[in-house]
Amino acid sequence: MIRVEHLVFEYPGTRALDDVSFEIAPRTITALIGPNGAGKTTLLRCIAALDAPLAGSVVVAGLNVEDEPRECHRRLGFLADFYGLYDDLSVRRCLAYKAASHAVPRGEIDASVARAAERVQIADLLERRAGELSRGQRQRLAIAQAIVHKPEVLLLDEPASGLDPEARWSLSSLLTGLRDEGMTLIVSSHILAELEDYSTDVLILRDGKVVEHRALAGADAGADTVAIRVELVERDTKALARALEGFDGVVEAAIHGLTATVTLRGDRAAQHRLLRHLIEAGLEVSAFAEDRTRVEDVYLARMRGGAPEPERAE
Amino acid sequence: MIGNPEFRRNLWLELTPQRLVVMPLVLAAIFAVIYLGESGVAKWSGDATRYGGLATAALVVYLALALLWGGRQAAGAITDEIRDRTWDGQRLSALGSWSMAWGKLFGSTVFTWYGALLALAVYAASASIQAPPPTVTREVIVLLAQGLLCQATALLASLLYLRHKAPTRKPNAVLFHLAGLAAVALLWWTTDSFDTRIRHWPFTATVSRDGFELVATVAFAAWAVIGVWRLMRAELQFRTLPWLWFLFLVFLAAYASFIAGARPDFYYGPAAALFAVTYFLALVEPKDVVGLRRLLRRAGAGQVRGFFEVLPLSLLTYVVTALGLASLFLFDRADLAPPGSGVYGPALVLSGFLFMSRDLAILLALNLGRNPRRADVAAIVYWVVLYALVPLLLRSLHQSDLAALFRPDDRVSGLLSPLVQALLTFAWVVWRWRSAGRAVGLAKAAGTGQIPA
Repeated sequence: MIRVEHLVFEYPGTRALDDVSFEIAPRTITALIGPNGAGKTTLLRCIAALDAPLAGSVVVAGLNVEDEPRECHRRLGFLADFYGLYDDLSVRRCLAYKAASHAVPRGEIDASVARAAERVQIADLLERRAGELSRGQRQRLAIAQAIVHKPEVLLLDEPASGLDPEARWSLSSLLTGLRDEGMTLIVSSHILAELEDYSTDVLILRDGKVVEHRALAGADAGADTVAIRVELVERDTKALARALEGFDGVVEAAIHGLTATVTLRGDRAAQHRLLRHLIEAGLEVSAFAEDRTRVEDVYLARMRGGAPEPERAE
Repeated sequence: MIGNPEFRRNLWLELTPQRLVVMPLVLAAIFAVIYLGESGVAKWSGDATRYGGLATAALVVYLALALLWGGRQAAGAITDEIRDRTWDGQRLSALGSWSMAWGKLFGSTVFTWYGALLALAVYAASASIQAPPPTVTREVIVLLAQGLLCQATALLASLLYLRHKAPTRKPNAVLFHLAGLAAVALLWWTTDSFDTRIRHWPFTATVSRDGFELVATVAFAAWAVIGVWRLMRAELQFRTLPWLWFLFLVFLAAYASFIAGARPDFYYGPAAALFAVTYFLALVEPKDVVGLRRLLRRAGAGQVRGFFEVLPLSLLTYVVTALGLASLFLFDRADLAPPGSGVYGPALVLSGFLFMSRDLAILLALNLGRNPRRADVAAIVYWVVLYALVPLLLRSLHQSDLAALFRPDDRVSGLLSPLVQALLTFAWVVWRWRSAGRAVGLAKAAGTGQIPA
């Protein structure tokens, strides 16, 4: 969905992006992380056709952003780190303007506005002036503006700043929902725990270079296999091993005391079948969850200069 | 028209029901006072009749609304967006450059036009009692064009500022508004004292001052709107070739030649106009090492279209000026000087061109330095020193011959000094360019994006 090739971007005196190349699959949420000044915002701005690179190319949804910037903007939503709102307009008009300026047909604007407002829970604020909103409400309006035209690609730079814990949780489910509907997202944030909730991939920048780009293990990541952590109430290694061996889809399993780490091939339905299989086998399962590679682990390992810690499912 | 989202957004903000009612009420009150009472404006008009006073008052109100208020609104159409951090959001829209350009130009000023057009209607009605309809019609068109010229130039100036990418986040719209007012004043200055006797090739026709003012004002207003559109294209990341700018330069040179044919004080007008535009653009356009590298990279790759897309307009203007000067020598236009002055015009103009080359090289070299933030101001200081302080110092040391080396000269032998100065400063540019290239190489080798100071 997004292809970046040999991207070079310079500010006078600084090379912000240095030969950056990567490809992002559709229906994924990529956590874009890196220290301050790594080039994250510059990269997002180049993808959004806001800044022209010195060299290289960016293709979004099959469109070269330098050749067709406006067509690209129809298909793309972007929430900048420092954004502004039209304080004198009502929330409804802010959203209607964004929808119209992104070529949403006139007859569909009202429905688009209502849907976007509903998604970020500001439907009851539609007649309020943007200038009267609280910081969290403004953030939600800004997110609604970025998705009102149903973009195929959504770029978010620090989307959770200003949100309270409940709103952050809502944001997490919103982003996951958007991805489930087919959207491809890149989210830049310093709050790694927040990215943990919804990211399927991680892209780490340092000094303008990509130092890591990988899928996070898990069914959401679209990987072939997923690591599952199973915990039993009582130790019953033999019964557990027997049950796992008899289940089609288990690639590998390691049992340590009450805990087993299982590499399972398949989607969420396969996980459900495995859990039911274990319970029907008479095992007293007390915990059953994906054992994901944590964004924080990958990031810290890279920032310390080493390789990321091995996945726990090996 | 309402289908343009940018225009509609401005309508929502500018044309509130309260404002729609208040504006005509206030104007009606003003005009009633003028018409019914012995006001000062009626006396200023120098016209004993009440209609004359009313026309003058309506004209003043129109100019205040269209040029002062409307110009300020247009100047802030972009800068207010930058201040409120909404400009990037607009650049991310799918609107075309023309929709964005006219949506901003007429949207930001729609309320002032609402009042200005009411005032203009009063002016036309009251003036037509004393003047024939064709005269009033011409005046109305000129006034409309002046309003548009002021507003479009103010918006154009703010877009030029965006290209400059100055470090400040809060651009001052007053400067852009002044640019709009200056455009109207400059045009008025060139047309107001226009002599109908055209003395020089290639213009031989007799032209009335009124007709010339009408055509010139409408033409420059149209060029200003075209300029807004072209700069908006660049701002919205459209790839744009500079052929319209080239046409504007041709138009400007022709216009200046036309004036030169009529006014003795405008002999060097065409060259001066091109010089002025080159200096102005060189100052306001970005001159950083990144832009130049992009330009040279495309030139090296043989990307002709890509090269012209990123070619600075100041460089294009410089080349057009050079070609224009070459044609002077080609046709040996020795008459390019006031009759009887004894000045060899082509040499004088070429000397000025070489000095301009030196000045632009200084500007570029300073911008390629380690701290380009104040390079433009520094270049202006250099120019003042070279044009004023050094000659003054030499004269005070009784070295008038040496002082003459620092100003344009009409002798062919006088070309040597500016040529040497231009070559030396060009060598300085090359040295700065190579230093910048080495800095990037060091940064890459060190594996960090920070280019060492």
